[in-house]
Amino acid sequence: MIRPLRQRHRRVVIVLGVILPIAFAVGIAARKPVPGMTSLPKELVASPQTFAVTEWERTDLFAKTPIQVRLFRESVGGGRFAVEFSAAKDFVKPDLIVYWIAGNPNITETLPDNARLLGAFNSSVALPLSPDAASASGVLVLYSLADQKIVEVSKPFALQKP
Amino acid sequence: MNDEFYIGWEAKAAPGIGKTLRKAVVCLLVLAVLVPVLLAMSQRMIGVSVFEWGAVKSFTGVLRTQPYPHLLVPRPGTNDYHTLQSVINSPASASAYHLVAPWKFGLDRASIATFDGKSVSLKGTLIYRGNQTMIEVMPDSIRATNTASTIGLPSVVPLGRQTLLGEIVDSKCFLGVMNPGHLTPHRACAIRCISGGVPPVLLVRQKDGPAIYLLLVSADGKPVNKQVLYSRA
Repeated sequence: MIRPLRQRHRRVVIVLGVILPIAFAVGIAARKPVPGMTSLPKELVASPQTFAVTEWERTDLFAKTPIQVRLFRESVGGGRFAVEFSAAKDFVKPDLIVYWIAGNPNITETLPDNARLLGAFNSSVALPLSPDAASASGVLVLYSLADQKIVEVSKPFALQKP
Repeated sequence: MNDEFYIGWEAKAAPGIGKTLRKAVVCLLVLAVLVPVLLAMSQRMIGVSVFEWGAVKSFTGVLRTQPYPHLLVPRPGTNDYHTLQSVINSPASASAYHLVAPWKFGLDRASIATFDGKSVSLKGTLIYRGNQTMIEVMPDSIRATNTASTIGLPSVVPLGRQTLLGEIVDSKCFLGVMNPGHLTPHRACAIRCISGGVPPVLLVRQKDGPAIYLLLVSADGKPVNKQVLYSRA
C-alpha cells in the first residue's frame, strides 16, 4: 500500500513543481501594462527649451543635500541664464520654491525682501534668471512655502566668469 | 538496484538518500534567498509621497471652491503679490493647495461657499508628492481674515481637444495618504474616495519624462466625481 502512495506523491510533487512556477511566471507576465504615453501633446508641454548652451554643472553648491545644478544660457556668450536642478527621488519637500538673492546675504530663517522668485523646484524645468542676476554673484535659496521655512541655501557663486 | 529506503524514525538516513537530501536542501535554501531578492528588485518603486499624520499646521491664502476646493497661497518674493487680484492673475505668484476633509471625503463645497474668493486661515495636515500639495483640513478650522476681498475666477486658457492615456487616481491617496495609492492594489479605495468627493486626477505617465497630474473637471468647470465612477475604461 505504501509504495503506490509514495509513487503518487512523487508524481504530484513533480507536476506541481513544474506547474506552479510556470503559472506564477505567466501571471506576472500577463499583468495589465501601466497606462502611459510616449510623449505629451505639444499643447501640454511647457514652453520649448530656449536655453541651448550648458555653461556648467555643479554638485557642490548645496552643503546639506546632494543637488546637481546646471546653468544654461540662451546662446554661447550671450542671452539669459537659467538654472535646472536634479535631486535624489527621496528629496521631497512641500511646495519647494527656488529664489535668487544677489550678493552674499546672511540668511537665517526668513527670506529677505530682495529675494527673486524663480519658480517651483522641478527637476525637468529650467528656471530663467532675471537679466540683472548675470552681472553679480548671488545665492540660490530653496524655500518650502507650505512649511514657511528655508530648506537650503547655496554657496555664493557668479553666473559669469570675471 | 538501489535498496535504500527512507525510514523516518531512524537517527541517520541511508548514505545515498542523505547525500541527495543535503544537496536538495542547499539548493532550496539558495533559491529561497535569491528568488525573493530578484523578484523584489524587478518591482517598480512605489514613489515618494508624504502624509504628515498628526502634524497640524496653519495656512493662510485665498480660498476657492471651484472646480474643487483649493487654497491659493501667495509666494513671497514677487513684486506685486500683496494684492489678491495679482495672486489670481499670475500663476507663478501663488501656489495652489488642494483641500480635502478627513478620511475618504472631499471638502463640502456648500459648507464653505461663504468663504469663496476670500482670504482665510485654516488648520490642517500636509499631503504632498512631487510638486503637488494638498491639505487635509481640520473640521471647522476655516476662518475669514479679510471678508472684503471677494475676487473673480482666473481666466481659462483653452488648449483644444486632446487625447491622453493615463490612470484616474484619487488625489488624496495618490499624493501621500496611501502608498501605493494607484493601480490595482488601490482600486477599491480610490472608488470610495472619489465617491466621497476627493478630486479625481488623471495621472499621465510619460516614457521619457515626469508624470503629469491633470485635475478632471467637466467642460463647464464642475466636479466630475460621479461621471468618473460610472465611466468604464
